[in-house]
Amino acid sequence: MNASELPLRAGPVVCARGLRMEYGRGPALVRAVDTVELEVSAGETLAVMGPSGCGKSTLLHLLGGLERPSDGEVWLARRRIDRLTENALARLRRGAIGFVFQAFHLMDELTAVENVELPALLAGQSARSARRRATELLEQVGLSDRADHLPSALSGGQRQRVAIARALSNEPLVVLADEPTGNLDSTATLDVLRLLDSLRSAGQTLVIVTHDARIAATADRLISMRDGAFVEETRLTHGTTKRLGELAGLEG
Amino acid sequence: MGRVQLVCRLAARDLRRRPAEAALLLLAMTAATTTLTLGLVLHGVISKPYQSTREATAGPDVIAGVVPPAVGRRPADLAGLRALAAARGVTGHSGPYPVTWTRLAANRQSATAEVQGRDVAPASIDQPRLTQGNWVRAGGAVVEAAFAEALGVAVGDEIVLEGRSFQVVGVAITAATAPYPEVSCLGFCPGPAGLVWVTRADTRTLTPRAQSLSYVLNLKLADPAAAPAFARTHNPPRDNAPPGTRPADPEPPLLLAWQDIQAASANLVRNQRKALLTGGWLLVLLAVASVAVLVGGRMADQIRRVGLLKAVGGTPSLVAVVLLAEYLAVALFAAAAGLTLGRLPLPCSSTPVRASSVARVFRRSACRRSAS
Amino acid sequence: MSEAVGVSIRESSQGYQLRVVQEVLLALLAAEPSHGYQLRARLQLALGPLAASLNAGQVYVTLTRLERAGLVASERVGQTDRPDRKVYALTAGGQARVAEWLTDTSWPKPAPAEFHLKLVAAAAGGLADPVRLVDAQRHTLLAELAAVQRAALAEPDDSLAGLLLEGVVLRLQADLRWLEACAGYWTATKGR
Repeated sequence: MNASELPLRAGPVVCARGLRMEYGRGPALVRAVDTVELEVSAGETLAVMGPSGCGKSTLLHLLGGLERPSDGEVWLARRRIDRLTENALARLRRGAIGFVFQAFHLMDELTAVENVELPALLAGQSARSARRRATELLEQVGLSDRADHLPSALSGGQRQRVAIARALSNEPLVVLADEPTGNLDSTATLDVLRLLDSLRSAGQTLVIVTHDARIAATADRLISMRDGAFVEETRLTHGTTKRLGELAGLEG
Repeated sequence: MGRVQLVCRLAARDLRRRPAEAALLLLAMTAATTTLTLGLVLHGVISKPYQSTREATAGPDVIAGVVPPAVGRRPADLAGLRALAAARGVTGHSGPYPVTWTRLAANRQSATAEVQGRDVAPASIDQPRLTQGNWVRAGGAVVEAAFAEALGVAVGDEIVLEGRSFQVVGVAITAATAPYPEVSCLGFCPGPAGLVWVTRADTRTLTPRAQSLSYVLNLKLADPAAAPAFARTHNPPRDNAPPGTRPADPEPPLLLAWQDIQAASANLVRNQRKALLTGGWLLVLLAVASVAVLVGGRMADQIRRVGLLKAVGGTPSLVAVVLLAEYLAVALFAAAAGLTLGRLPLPCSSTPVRASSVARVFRRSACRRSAS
Repeated sequence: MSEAVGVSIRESSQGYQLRVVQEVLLALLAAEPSHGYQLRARLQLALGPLAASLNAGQVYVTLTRLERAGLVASERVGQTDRPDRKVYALTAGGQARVAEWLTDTSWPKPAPAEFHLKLVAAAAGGLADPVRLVDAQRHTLLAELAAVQRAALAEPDDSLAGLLLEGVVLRLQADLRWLEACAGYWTATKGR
């Protein structure tokens, strides 16, 4: 299942109902995610912010099928995914969900282009078509000249862009990014920021967990989390630059 | 297809990233497989070498020998020997063959040789089976296979017996004696001696006097299983003389049953086999421990790889395959290497003198197999 | 809003004046009626070293103004050995004004003192959860940041205007970082 197979007038791409994630028991019970309701429409970019330990990473892992919730439902394009077997989840992660991590998580022994074609090869595509797609994606993120470099020869920002290219490999329904600029300096952050913005313009559905305000500001919608629950939600695209003069220090 | 390529690529790259560890792993596993293969081969070697030699050479059931008395100039009791050929239960004989002990020099080494005189024509009982070259001729000697390996001589080499030069015209195996250095002694043994066959005439030239020759007779019995009983019956009663001393009068013949020769043949190998097996098992344990350490030491790295593969959509089975593929590849290489090393068919005449008897036996049987 | 009694930021020879001093005092009175000197003490505690640069008489002047505007009412309390002191209390109009102020998320040019005092007053009066106030303010700022950033990204790389926009973005980002710190502080305080 990937983006090209999504019916035109579908409902939300990602949906969570009564999602709960608990660890421990009794007095040691920790509610990482506390009864969350969420919907992400196709082509929407959602940013989730919150202090450390608020559960936003856990939420992302639940949405991506990397962990199984204690309670509640997770839906991906009208298909319930929280009760799937490991094999089915693996297929899902290969095709429908692209993941981007804070620590990049590239395979150190593979070159950039080999890393990007990894999901395609896992999905059973031929080596040639996987390589072709990977080359295209590297071009899209602006790293064609680094295709045969090992991750150790790439800067942090470049590695993250390779990771993003990898996430796009099988045309996923949604890209889930967990603190994509957490390990990057300000310049690299800008590069990734521009890339995420271009993905948004291209219509890719994105859910980004971050505590970088600039990255969050690229989203259509922003949700703040605290202690596992949503506390505040705002549409970011309705803002205008009316106050720009004031913000810049011009008396208004 | 893409998946297979991916697994191979991941395995190959990871191995390449840590070549030293991969090499250590390969070494440990190869040591284990080589040892196990050696053990298996040895097992095959030990089981029936003597029997096959006996069949191939028409080995005797009983060997009888006489030596001349130590003091005086009287000859050995040849008549007594010949009389045995007509004893009850004997269905055939070959010999008597003259025997003498001489110094042997070859390849800058010296040893003691038990020289037996033979006819050019093949004998009916105990015709040594050639593994190299041809049978005896004037000036030409045939050396017992284990002896030849110990000395490092082959067909065409020169050996010097008692100052007289002979050419090695052949190498042969026999069931009439255990392989060098476990030669069976018939009453008198001047220490470990290797068996060498020459013509009767040449034997005579190696002794100062005809009377100093000993003789040996090969007997075939109607009931080979009864050979020990036959030997016991015809052997002279034991006296209290210290072993190794030659009696004053011509002694009656001493008899040896083939079962004793077989036992001596096996003895050669038994103790060393124990040592090798113990050493082998220790080596296997060491190899297993090394493998465990090498594999275990990389667990953290592998866990990270597992997590990553899982996140990009690898099924549990694929992840397991990726993890195992490298170790499997190394293990396969090691198995192939071990099997080859353990069964290496070395040429029969390229051994150092001090090689263990076990190795000699093993190589002899390998040579035997390749020759037959 | 603050036009009610017309005060704005103005330097004066007697120190700085606080633009929203009225709202702050009203909020501080929401917990309980207080004397002028008590209110002043609370402000000094909240402002620390900055309190010194605050106009000394501003608190009393403002209280008078507020009474005239009908947002507070005062009472003389008799004291045995001292001249009578006024006790100020919040009126219904004052309460309404406070509620309005708390939910106002307009963000003036760098003025952390105002927001800081808002949180202090809200916490002191039990009027609102400071953490929630921070969340709401953050989201407003993020929406503004989003708008500015979009404009900045639309500019070509070497644009002059782009540089200015980047400056605005970075200041907003700095404000947001401080707001996160506020959230952290008031969350921890709640826990105590």
